Amino acid sequence: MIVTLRKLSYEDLKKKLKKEDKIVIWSCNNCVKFCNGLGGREAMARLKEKLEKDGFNVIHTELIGLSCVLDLVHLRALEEPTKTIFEEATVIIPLACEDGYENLKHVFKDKRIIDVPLTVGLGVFSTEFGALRLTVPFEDTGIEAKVEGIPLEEVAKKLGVYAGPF
Amino acid sequence: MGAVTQRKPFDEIKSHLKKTDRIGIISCNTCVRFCGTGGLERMEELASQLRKEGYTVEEELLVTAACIRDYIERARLSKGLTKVIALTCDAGWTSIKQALPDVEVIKANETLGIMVVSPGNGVLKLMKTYKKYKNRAGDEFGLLTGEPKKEKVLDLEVPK
Repeated sequence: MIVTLRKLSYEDLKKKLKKEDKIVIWSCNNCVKFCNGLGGREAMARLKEKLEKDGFNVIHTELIGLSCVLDLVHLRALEEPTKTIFEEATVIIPLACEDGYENLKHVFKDKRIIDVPLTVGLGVFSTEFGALRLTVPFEDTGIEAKVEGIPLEEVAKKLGVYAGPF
Repeated sequence: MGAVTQRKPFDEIKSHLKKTDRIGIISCNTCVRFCGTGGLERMEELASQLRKEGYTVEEELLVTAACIRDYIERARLSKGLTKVIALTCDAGWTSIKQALPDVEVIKANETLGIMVVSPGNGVLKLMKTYKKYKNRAGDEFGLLTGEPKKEKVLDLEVPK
């Protein structure tokens, strides 16, 4: 399973948004949900609520099975009811891995796609941990691979980024 | 899910096995199936190849995703297995090692990085890679076959 953290704090995210923006929050319903709840329906609802409380205009939340499947992302842009919504949107906040982010940039070329994800490698989920742990990090993280895995909070702390939902 | 894998040569896999071993094979039905390096058919092929050469393949287990350790733990595998072949990505391999700490777990695949998939174009594209495969970022492979594509069809930005 792909392990993804986020580069931005909530305060950092707000700085990238304008009050006149029409915001879509986008999330996969797969790996990122296991990444300490970075993505998924609950993470989107939580972020929507926070942004609206701070006066931002969230026009839609879009939950997709997998953002790494390019064709599924294309369908959102081509077919109703999402076509009209995405035409109206000015910015998309991806709660996805870096593959999902690249797909969004490719499909929605005229939108601002906020650079949220930092994908750090592959990991293992177990109900014993109750969470996903990083076991096969990308070498550029400088983190050593461990069969038993590393909790995502620890990985985030080492890299100076954030784990879990906004 | 999204890990890109390539199969290790059969002789390399065999070099870890003895004829007296009681072998299990575990594979996933997601990423490795996309890559043509796992899934039911590839697992059956590997088991059959090994049996033809006189090895004892005692268990074949197909799980949705081996990187979810609970699937392995709850599979009630034979207690007497001496080797398990992970027909998975490296995350699946670590998951099996966690679940079966007393058994030697052999990697049948190399993990190159993570992928974007386009079923409509019948391809998957290698995006962010592990260091060893840096120069292969952007390579495309046939979906379900893993066959390298000569011409690229997905005009996506590949992370450097």
